[in-house]
Amino acid sequence: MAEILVLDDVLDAAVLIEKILKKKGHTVHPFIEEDEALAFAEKMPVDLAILDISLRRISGIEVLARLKHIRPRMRAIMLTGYPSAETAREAASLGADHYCAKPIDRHELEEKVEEVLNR
Amino acid sequence: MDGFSLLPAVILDIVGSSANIVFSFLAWRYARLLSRRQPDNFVWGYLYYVTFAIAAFAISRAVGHLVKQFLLIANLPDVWGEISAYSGGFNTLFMVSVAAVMIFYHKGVQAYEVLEHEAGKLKIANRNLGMAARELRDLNQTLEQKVEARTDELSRSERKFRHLFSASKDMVFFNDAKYRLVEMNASGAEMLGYSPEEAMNLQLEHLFAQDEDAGLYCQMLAKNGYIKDLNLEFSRKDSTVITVLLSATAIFGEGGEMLGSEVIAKDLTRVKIMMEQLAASEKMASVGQMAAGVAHEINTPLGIILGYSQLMMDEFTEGSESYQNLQVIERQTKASRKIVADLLKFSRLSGGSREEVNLNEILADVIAVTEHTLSLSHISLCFDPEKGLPAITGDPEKLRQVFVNLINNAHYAMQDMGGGELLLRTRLQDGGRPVVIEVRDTGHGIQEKDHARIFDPFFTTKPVGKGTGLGLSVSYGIVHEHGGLIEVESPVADLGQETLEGTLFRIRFPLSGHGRQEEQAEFTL
Repeated sequence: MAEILVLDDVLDAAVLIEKILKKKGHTVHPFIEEDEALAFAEKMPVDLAILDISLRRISGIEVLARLKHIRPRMRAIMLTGYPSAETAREAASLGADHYCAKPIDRHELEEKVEEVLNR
Repeated sequence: MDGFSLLPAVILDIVGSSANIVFSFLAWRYARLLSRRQPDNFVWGYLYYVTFAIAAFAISRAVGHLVKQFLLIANLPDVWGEISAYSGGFNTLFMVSVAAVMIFYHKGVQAYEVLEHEAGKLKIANRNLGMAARELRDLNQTLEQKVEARTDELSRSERKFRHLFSASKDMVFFNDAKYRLVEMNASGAEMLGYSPEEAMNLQLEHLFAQDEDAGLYCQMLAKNGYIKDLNLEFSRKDSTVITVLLSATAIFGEGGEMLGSEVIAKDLTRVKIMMEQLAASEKMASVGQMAAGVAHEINTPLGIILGYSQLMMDEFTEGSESYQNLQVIERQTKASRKIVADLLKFSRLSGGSREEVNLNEILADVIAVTEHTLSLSHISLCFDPEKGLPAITGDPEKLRQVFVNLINNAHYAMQDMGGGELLLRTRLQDGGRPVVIEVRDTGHGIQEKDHARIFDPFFTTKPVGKGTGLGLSVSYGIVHEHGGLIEVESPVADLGQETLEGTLFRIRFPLSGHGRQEEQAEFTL
């Protein structure tokens, strides 16, 4: 099963994703701080990152760029409460596999994660 | 006496006497001509008589001498001796008559001078009179010219003010002391929907749409003598109401009594509508901002509630009471999520695609989906597409949503009436937004009081639970996002000037590549 990094500035949201995906047998690492998430990725392998775009200090797009730099083969799903064509384009150009508008449904999340990991 | 020595004297006497006769008659003739030419001239008349007397004297004297000389030449001195006394007598007689005429001259001249003097005075008097008459005539003429010039000025001024009155685009009228309209310009009559003749017989208080305004008008005019910029409503012949800005001045007679008033009123109806539209669009923009802010903030906790309730369902067996309770939470949270999503669509902040869209195709798609449901409610659908309608740039999914919303509303408006007719039409018109789509129903229409609010989020006339009040707001948001405009007419003004029951939504879009950029920039938060 996969190593999944979750970054969302709202802890409840991050933990929710952790709980949902744990049930599917994945190992999930929830973070609310950008630096901690990046530091984790430096040390540990990550198969998939689920990133919120509106974070505390830097944008999720920026985090995506840095994570892709550290782990080029890593998959990524972007989550955002403020979808826009611009961030969608940026995310896609940086190699994000999905761009989803919040709030995301449990089943939708499960499906998207399976699909991305099986690519 | 020796004839030889006297011969020259004799010849001289004969010639001189003959010349005497000839010249005296010539003088007489000239005097006669002169006196004829100027019969009034005393001197010529006098000269005539003098020359006449001299001519007579000349005949007497010269003929006497000639006879004497011829008798002496004929050597008949005795005959001469006999008649010489007669000749001398005649000579004396004529000499006396010449003298008499000469004496008469003196008196005549005196009389003539007196006459001339009197005549001179008369002449001067006449001349003075003539001058006075000329002066009087000049004065008369100047007066006439002055009057003419003044009349001309007046008529020019009258023309100028008459033109100001008749050509004014604002209503101008006069009323008498009993508040009856005595004169109104064409613009005024037109503004009120009356013919100019009908406008003459109007009573001022019938113009005021609000009864209390008539009292206010009279009161203000009586108190101040004028009214400045009073905002009020006039009712037209067809009972519709126009908003006007009125200024009036009272007209007073010499005794200070009020004779009436002169009034100017400007039609503000269009301005008022524009202001309302502006206010409405500002309101929509601010409501949109707020809705977007709220939606984003609520989305996160909503997602968490939904997720946790879905997680908890794993803990309970399907069909148990707790499982069912969690299903209710899940359902309601999803309903909330739908509302939030609609709000975001309204505020134009959700993402979307952009492509060339043919609205005829979009409408055909929507018709295919809705036709069946409409026919169940006995609603006949008529689609009149403009051939060769140019494409617009937009998101086909969102545009479909707009027409689904409008058709749903039309359906709702007609189903209670047991059916009706839905007309969908696309047209190409002139102007900045040439692509026009009309959705018209024959339903119960929109009440006048609701017109201003139909695009407001959460405004609905449907019973609780039947509608969220977001359909039209979302449609409004989407149309604006595409640089378009959406207008409503209810009841519908037909071409034949009559109004029809029902509602018409008219949407105008700019052509591909026009208008979208600014719209987006304007609404980016």
